[in-house]
Amino acid sequence: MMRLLKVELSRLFSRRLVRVLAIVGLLGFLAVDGLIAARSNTDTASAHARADVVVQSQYQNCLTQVGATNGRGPTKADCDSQLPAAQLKNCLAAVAAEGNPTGPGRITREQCIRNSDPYFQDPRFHFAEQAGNLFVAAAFIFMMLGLLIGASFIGAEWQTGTFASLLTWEPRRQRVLAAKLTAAVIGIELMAIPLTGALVGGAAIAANIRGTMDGTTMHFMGQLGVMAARVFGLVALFTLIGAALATFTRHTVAAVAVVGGYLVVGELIGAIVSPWWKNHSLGAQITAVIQGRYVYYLDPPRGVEMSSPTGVVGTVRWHGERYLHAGGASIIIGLLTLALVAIASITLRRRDVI
Amino acid sequence: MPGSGVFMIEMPAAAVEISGLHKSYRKNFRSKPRAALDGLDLHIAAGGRVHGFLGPNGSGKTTTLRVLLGLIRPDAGEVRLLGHQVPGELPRAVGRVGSLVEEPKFFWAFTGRRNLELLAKLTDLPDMRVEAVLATVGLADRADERVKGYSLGMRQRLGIAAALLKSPTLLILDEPSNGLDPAGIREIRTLLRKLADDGVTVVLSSHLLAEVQQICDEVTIISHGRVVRTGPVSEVLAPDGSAGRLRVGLADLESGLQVLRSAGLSVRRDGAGLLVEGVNSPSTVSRVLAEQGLYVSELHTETADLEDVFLSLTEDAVGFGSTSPEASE
Repeated sequence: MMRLLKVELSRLFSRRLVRVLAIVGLLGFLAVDGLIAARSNTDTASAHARADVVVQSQYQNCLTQVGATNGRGPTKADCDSQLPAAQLKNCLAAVAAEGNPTGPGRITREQCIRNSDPYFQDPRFHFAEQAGNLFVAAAFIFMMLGLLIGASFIGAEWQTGTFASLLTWEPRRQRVLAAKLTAAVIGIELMAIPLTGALVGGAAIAANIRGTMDGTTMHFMGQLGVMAARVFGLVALFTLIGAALATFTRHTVAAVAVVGGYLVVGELIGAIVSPWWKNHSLGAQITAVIQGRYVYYLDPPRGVEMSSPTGVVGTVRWHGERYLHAGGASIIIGLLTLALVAIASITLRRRDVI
Repeated sequence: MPGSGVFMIEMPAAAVEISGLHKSYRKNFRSKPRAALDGLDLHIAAGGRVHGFLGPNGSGKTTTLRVLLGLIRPDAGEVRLLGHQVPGELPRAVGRVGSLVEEPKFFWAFTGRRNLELLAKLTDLPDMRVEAVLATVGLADRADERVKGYSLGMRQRLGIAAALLKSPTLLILDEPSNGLDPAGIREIRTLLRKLADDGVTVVLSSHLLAEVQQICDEVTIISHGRVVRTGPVSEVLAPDGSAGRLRVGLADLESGLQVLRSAGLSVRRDGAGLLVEGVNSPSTVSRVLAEQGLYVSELHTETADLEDVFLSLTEDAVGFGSTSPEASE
C-alpha cells in the first residue's frame, strides 16, 4: 500500500497541471501580499488630521441648524452624539454585548476606536481584521483546486486508459482507489498549507512593516488556527468529492460539472422550492465551516413585528435569527463525502474496466 | 534485440485454465444483452511455448484477455491464471504476468522512462530493470522523450517493455506488432521466440496470421465467443493428419484428371495444373499417372496455411458487415 501511495504521490507531483497551479498560486499570493504592503502605510496622523477637518465642518454645520428650524431640526445633543467620542462609547458597548470580541471577523476594540471617527480613513493594513478574510479567499480557491485536481487525477487516468494498466499491476481495486484518494488529499494539502501560509504570512509581514498587528492576541491566533484547520479540512473533503465523482463518472469534466452544476443550478432551484433548503444548502454549510457559523433569519410569524432587542447600533438581532454551526456543517459535508466515496468504491469494484 | 533477462521460475501445469466462460454486454439499459463469450473453454499449458489466440473482430479475444487480467468480471465460468483463481486470487499471480492488451496506455506527458519507473516502483523493481527492458525493445535512446512524441510503433515497443518489466512467466500480448515496421515485427518475433525458449509462456493474440503460424507452437481459434479449434499448429492446419494438397503439373491435364479420379482421388483443375486433396504421399499420385503413361512435370505439396484454416473456421463471423458485442465495447 505504501509503495502504491508513493507512486501515486510521485505521479501527482509530476503532473504539469499541479506544478503550474502551485507556481501560479504562489506568485498570485505573493502579488496579493505585495499589493497589501503597497496600499498600507502607518501615517495615521495625517489621516486623523484630514478626518478632523471634515468632522469639525460637519459639527459646525449641525450646530447652525440647531433651533433654526423651529424645533424640528437637530438638538445640540444630536450634534454631540455624532462626534467621535460618542460613536466610540456606543461601539464599545456593542463589543461588550458581543461577548467574544477577539475572533476573526468579529468587532474589536481597535475597530471601534478607528470607526468612531467616520471620516477617518485608516491607511494601515490591520492583520487582525483581514486575516480571516484571507483564509476565506484561500479556502474557496483551494476548495475549487482540490475539486479540480482530485477529479483530474483520477478522471485523466480513465481517459488515457492508464487506470486499466495500473490494475494489471495491482488488481485490488479498493487498494488502488484508497491510494489515489489519499495521494490526492496529501497532494492538495501539501499545496494548500504552504501557499496559504505564504499568503497569510506575507500579509503578517506587510502588517508588521507597513500596517498594524493590533489585536493579534494569543486568543485571536488560536481562533485563526481553528479556522485554518476547518479550511484545510474542507479542502480535503472537496478533493475527495472530486476524486470520488471522477471514479464514478470516469471523466474529469463530468465530475467537475456535477459539482459546479449542483452549486449553480441545484442550489438555486432548491432555494426557490424550499426556504429550508436555502438555509441548509451546501453553500450555507460551506460558509458555516469556513466562517465558524452561518446566520440565517426565519420569517416572523404573522402579526409579529421584527425588533431589535438590544437597540444597540451594529448589533441588531431579529428574533428569528438562527445559526448553522461549523461542527454540524462539517459532519454533514463529511457524510456527503463519505457517501460519494462509498459509491465510487462499490462501482469501481463491480464495473468492468474496458 | 538483445537478451530479455527473463528469469526461470517454476510454473504450474497450466498457465491459463478457462472453463464455461460467459460474458454478455449491453449497449444500454434497454438493449438486450449480446454474448461476447459463450461458454469458452481454454487450456494453455505452462512453460516455454507461444500460444496463438485467434479470432475475427468481435469474437471475444480481447474480452477473454481482459477477464484473465481481472479487468472484466465474467457472468459465469471459472478462470485460473498460473493456478490461481481469477479474480479472487489474482493478486497472487499478477506479479508473474506481463500484459499488453489492445493499444498501450501511458501518461503522454511523461517520458517513456518515467512511465516505466512509475510501474517499476509499484513492485520495488530496481532501475536496472527499466534500463534492461528499454534496451530489449530498442528504446534506450528515445527513453527520455515524452510519450506523446512517440510513433505508434515506439509506443508499442514501450508497451512491450512494460509487459516485460516484471520478468513475467506468463506474457499476454494483444496485437503486439500493431504499428511496427517489418524490421520491428521481426524483432518482436525473435524476442517472443527467445522468451518462450527461456521458459516463458506467451499468449499471443494477433491478426497477422503468417506471423502467428511462424512463431506459435499452439493455436486456439475462437468464433462467436467459443473455441472452434485448438491444438499444436500442425494439428490445427491438418486436423485429419493429411499432408494437405498436391499440385500436379503435366502436359495432358484432362487425361490426368480422368486417371486420378478413376483411382478414387479427389482432384480438380486449378489454373495450369491439377490440385489433388487428401493424399498423404506424393508418390501415390506419380505412380498412378505413370502407370497410364502420363508423366508429371511438377509435383509439390501445398499445405493449407493458417489463413485458410482461420477463414474456413470463422467464415460466418468474418466480413465488413459482421457486428459483434466486442466491436461495440
